[in-house]
Amino acid sequence: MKCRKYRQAIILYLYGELGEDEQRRLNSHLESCPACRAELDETRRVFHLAREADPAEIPDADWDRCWSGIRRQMRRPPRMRSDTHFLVPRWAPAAAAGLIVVFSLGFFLGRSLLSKPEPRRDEVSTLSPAAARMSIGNHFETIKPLLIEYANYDEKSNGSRITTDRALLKNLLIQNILLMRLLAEEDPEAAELFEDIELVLREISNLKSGDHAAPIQIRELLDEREILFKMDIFRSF
Amino acid sequence: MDEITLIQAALDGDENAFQKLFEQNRQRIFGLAFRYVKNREDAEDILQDTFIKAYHSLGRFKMEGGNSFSSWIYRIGINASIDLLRKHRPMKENNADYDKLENLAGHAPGFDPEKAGRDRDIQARVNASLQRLTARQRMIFILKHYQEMSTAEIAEYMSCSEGSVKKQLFRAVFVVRAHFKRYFPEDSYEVQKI
Repeated sequence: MKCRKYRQAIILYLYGELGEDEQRRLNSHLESCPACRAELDETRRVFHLAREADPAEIPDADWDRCWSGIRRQMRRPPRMRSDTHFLVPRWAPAAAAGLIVVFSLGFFLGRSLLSKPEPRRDEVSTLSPAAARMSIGNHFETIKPLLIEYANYDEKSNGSRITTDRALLKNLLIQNILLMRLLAEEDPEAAELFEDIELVLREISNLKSGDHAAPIQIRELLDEREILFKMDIFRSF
Repeated sequence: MDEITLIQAALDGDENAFQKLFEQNRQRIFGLAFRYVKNREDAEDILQDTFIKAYHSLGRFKMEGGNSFSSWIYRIGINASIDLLRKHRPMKENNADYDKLENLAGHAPGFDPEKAGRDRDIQARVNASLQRLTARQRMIFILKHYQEMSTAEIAEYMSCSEGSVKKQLFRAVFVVRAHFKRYFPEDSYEVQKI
């Protein structure tokens, strides 16, 4: 193991999350590595200082004012659980069509972003607003069926049919990163949406066969971050 | 009334039942939000957003299988905090809330003004270092460092893998440590061994 890995192990050790074997390995490395020993001391010192900065007590909120604010928004009754899920499309043909878009857009964006070692912002933003909007629309069209598949994931019925096509995911990730860079300056809020999508794509990429908990986590992530909803809102403007 | 009865009553439109759920969970959500955004006003906004979102998606809360409402709403609170920080970037900090706490402490017996000044110095530095983190990294750092959750618990609350939490945590600690190293050279403050 290299020192970089031990530096991560030091953090887990100080948080009490290092297994016995790993701790033994770390101890034996520390005996022979003064740099990592210094790293341990420094990290311990910083942890201690950061803990000291925690406020001793949290102030009280104005509970009545908060409750009044909540109550005002409670005019409509809570929504009951709906049995109507998103329609699950047979999305393979759409993905194939989408891939063509991914590759072509990747080619054009790649040329503008990657052809020079340090692209200037004004060069990156040479894509006209209309073209950027179309690219984003195409990206969403491609990605949405995949996300819907996970949004509707049901352990009993989907189990083995969940999609984890690595090549497709890799392309979608590249596409997503390129668009996120494009949007970073112009529209930070939209860039955050792409950041969330990236997180979901990475989680899907890391799925291991037989892992039934991870697709459920992905479904919850999509739900909590309201990603599909935000994609629809974004497209409607 | 137990939690499930209160949720059922709230679903039937009983406002008082939802108010009870608010009273039972408000302190924990507000505490997290305050640590996260460092000012009372934004923390109150997060508290309100959390309960409004919870109310309107109460029908999606699964009562069966031992799921707890407090964990569910804590998760909503985490997401509401991240959302607010993203919208408010750069974060507006309000040390007045800390000043009020300090003034209260100032009247307490055994108050040490020198220590208070030093704590304030560290506090400002911690806040500055947290500003360099992304909204998610910052939340993971707060949950780990101050709420003392395990990485597995954080992964569950943030609906991602434990590996992803660890990666973000390492990045957060490296950023905070680099910042401290620059502003607090090693001999500036002595530290007891943990």
